[in-house]
Amino acid sequence: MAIAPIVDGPSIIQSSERRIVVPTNILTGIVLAVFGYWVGEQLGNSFLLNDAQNTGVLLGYSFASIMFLVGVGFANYPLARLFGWRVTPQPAGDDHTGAWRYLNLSLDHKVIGVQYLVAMLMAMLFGGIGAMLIRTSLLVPDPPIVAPDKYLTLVSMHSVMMIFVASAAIVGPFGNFFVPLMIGTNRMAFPRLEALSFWLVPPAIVILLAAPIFGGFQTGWTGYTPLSEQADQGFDSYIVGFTLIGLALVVSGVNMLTTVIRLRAPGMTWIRLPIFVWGVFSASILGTFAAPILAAALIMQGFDRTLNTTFFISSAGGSPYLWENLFWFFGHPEVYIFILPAFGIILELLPHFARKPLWGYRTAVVGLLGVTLLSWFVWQHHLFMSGIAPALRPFFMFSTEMISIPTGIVFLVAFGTLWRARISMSVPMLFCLGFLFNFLIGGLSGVFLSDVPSDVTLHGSYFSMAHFHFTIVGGEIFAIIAAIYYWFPKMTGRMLNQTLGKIHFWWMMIAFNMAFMPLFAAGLLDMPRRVSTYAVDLQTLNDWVSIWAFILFASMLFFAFNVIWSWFFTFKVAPANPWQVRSIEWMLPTPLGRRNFEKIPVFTGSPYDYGNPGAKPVADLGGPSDLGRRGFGAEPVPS
Amino acid sequence: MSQQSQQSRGLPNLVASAPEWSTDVDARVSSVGMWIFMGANAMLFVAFFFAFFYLRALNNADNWMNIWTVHPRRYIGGIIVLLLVACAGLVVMGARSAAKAPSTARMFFWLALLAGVLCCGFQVYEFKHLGFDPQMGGGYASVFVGLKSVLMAEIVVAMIWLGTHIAQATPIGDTTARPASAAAFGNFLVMLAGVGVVAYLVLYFI
Amino acid sequence: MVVDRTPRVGGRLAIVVLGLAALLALLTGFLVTFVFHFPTTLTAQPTTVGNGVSIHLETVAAVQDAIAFPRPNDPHPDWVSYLPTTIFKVPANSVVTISIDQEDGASGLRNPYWSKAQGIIGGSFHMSYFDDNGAPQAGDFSVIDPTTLAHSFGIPDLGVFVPLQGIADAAPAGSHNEITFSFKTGKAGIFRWQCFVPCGAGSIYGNGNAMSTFGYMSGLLVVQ
Repeated sequence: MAIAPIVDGPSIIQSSERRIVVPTNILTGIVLAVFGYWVGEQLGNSFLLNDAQNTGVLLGYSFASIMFLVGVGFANYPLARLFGWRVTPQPAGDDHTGAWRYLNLSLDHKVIGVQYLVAMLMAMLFGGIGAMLIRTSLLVPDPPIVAPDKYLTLVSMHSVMMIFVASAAIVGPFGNFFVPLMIGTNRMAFPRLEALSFWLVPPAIVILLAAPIFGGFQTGWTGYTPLSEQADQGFDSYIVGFTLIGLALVVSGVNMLTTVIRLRAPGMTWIRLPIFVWGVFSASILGTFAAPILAAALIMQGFDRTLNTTFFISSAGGSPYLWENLFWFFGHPEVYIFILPAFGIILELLPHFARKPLWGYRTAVVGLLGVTLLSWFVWQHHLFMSGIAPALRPFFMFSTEMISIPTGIVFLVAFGTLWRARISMSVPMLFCLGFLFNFLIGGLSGVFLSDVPSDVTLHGSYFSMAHFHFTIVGGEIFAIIAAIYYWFPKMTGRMLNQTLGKIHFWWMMIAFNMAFMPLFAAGLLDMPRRVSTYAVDLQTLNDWVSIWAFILFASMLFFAFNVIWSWFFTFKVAPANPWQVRSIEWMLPTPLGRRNFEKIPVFTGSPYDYGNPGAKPVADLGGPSDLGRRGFGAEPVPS
Repeated sequence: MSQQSQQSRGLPNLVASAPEWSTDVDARVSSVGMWIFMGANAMLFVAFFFAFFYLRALNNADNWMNIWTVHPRRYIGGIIVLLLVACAGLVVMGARSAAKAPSTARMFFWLALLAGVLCCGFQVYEFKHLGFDPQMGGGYASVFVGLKSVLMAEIVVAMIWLGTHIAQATPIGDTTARPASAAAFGNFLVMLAGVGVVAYLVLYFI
Repeated sequence: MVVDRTPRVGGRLAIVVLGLAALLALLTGFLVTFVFHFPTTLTAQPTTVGNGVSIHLETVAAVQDAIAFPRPNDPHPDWVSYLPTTIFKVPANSVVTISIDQEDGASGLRNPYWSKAQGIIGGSFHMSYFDDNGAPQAGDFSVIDPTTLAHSFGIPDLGVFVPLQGIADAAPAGSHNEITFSFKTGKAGIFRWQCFVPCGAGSIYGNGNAMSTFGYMSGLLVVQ
């Protein structure tokens, strides 16, 4: 992949010879982060604003995050501009090469995709270990193996970690890697923001993992006041960690939306956009506009805990309901940030493995955008049992149930695509079918929770816990694993072992359903969430669930083994198009170079046009050079 | 791969000449990106305005504005918001001349920086002479301190950003990306000024 | 570009993978150590008279100020606490006598109802204490002034509530009020008990930290 130097007249500006002298890499970042934490803590403690020393911890975390980003190299470009050095808009930060670049700031969207993938898998492992500890504790009803405050910390850390994973694990790895390829561009709109959206994640994970040092936090992922106002400094981890993830969502959303709006190649019209890009696009809309609400609410929490403001303290003019409203106004779009790109993956993969066009492409787009729109109007269903005005409940019950219509459309499209297809039962397809089965159960159980009368009894029980685990684990995680099996050859140049993959699928599918299906029953038997003990007569059921949960975790370790083994210890380069599919990313050579396309491609057909003898190829990769030179969507489509 | 790696070590001249990094592409994405970012940023303040009206309507424990709390002096708030509006206006005017007359743009930007720094200075003065305590002042005091601090933090960051535009508004600078970037930045400041005006009306008069 | 084999991964990559694995193991160990830190269990001692059991406890304003049961290396040396632990093992269908060295000052109740002794044998408890002049006093009480409460000992499921009077300001340094009471256990089971005085200083409404943590102001009574 040599890069053809193209002389480009007056718009070329050479990078300045002057550089920041301090080497910027991950080690500098870690050193500066430790220093930043120390400075922030000293500074915060010197204010003596609050006897719980929250100011020190909060400022420490914030300074550590900022200094980490500075050390990694994010200050170089703004500083160079501030010093008046002439800088090009192009990424000059790719000093690191080889494997080392995966551990450092890189502005190559493909490197960022791989970085995200590894970070998310590791975070998922942490969250999974938390889940295993929870299930270990629940082996015995009473007294618990884990003390109640520690148990709640465990639940909180498991849930927040998994929320981090779920909100970034599709748009991060696969969105960053494949959206530019799929829309035919060599760059993202804002490569530095794209890198920032990744580099905010490691500090968030580390800060969250630091919570036990300060006693943990017992609030669950919802951080409800006044529980959170009473919590130790451990809760500061939640505030800073979640703010960083919220920022990452905004930053990645701005970049992703602008890229899709502005940088589509000629011929890549809106109705030719791959459905996966639509999934990422709609999730990015939600991430961009919902996450700031969370950031604002977390800033209020931070002020309450340091400056002693009273946003959420009802005796002093605030209200815990303010938190509940702000949190869920973010929180409900957040769950669609999880699932919309997962829908995108499923609908993207089904046509390729069913060898049929995507049935009702436009309908599917309407479904995705319908979910995006409706998800703004349902947040109060989380407050049904919090004492909201009863007259409001029917509206939010109605709007919540409305969401099953666009979701149903997505299912209709999926089943229409599978109808009478010659289905290839390869591993990604198995996970897609597993998704359809699990998400159907998850979605249908959600209807019961959206109904006010049944929610009154099911609220806060293991029923709702089983519901969202069916949608997130059985749904989103299955989609992520399908995507990993499907795209791994393109991302890393190695095929994952398919035999191990099939074993993994059946192992995981059975273990997942065995572990989570009985939890619906546990919920109907009034077993409450987030409590370290339970009724003695539910022990058999819980032990069954725990044992299957351990088996489920073992299946994930088996998967991790497959990934590590296939990635690092098999040396056979994957074929360029192992699945024999039409989509454009598989038309490119497999170890992709720094530039994706020698010439900007011209899109001529749909990637899903299987079974049509007269189908045009998806794109002309060697199109007329003048067409693709500058063109990002503005040029007319060649007929 | 290795050949490319060696080429991209050090100064990436070859990549620099790739057409997708030509400055007019940046000019095209900066405007759209900024509009989206402004939408996201607006949502941040929407949360604070929601907090204002929500807590005001609830008036929990009769403590929305208690006896220790009065509106801060309107003229100081007015000066702050006027300086913010002036700053935004100057940046917009500067951005208009950034392509053809970089030195004029630079002068406008310097004036805008002055206005912005003064705005932050008056804000600090106002915080020091608030007349109420965020802890004792009830819901109003919380929203006032929260909203104004976040707005001021954004203004401080925006002033550093403005510094980059001052530094880059030189006659030898490029004439495509920088003016577009300055125009987008001007839009951002106009949005901040709009938030400032609304916040002034809401926090000082309601 | 399709080649059959590529060069093997470098040693540096192996080091990175191993380093990440080590980091993972370290963090997991840290989490596991944190999670499985459970307060120790105190088995009640048989009393010399009668067939009951007895437990001797101490309540302190801060763990570091303990006299009878010092607990060094506690993660929260400045929290209020019952000492030595809050997990008690007692036999079923027997009389449990608890004596408490109460060393903390008064903080008062929000709900005066909890200043009444309930569910204990005889309806009253014995207390030796210091009056406002610092003079030692003793007597049997069934209710005390709600503003003088430092802590309380309540097992809701057994109906047991005992108020613990705060040490008077005039009392000699290092002295304590001693409160003794007895109650009956029924069939085997696990019962939660806790202090009902919001004494978690540093948390809003006083219900955080020590109040919500086993080993400090709440615990279990394991009847078996």
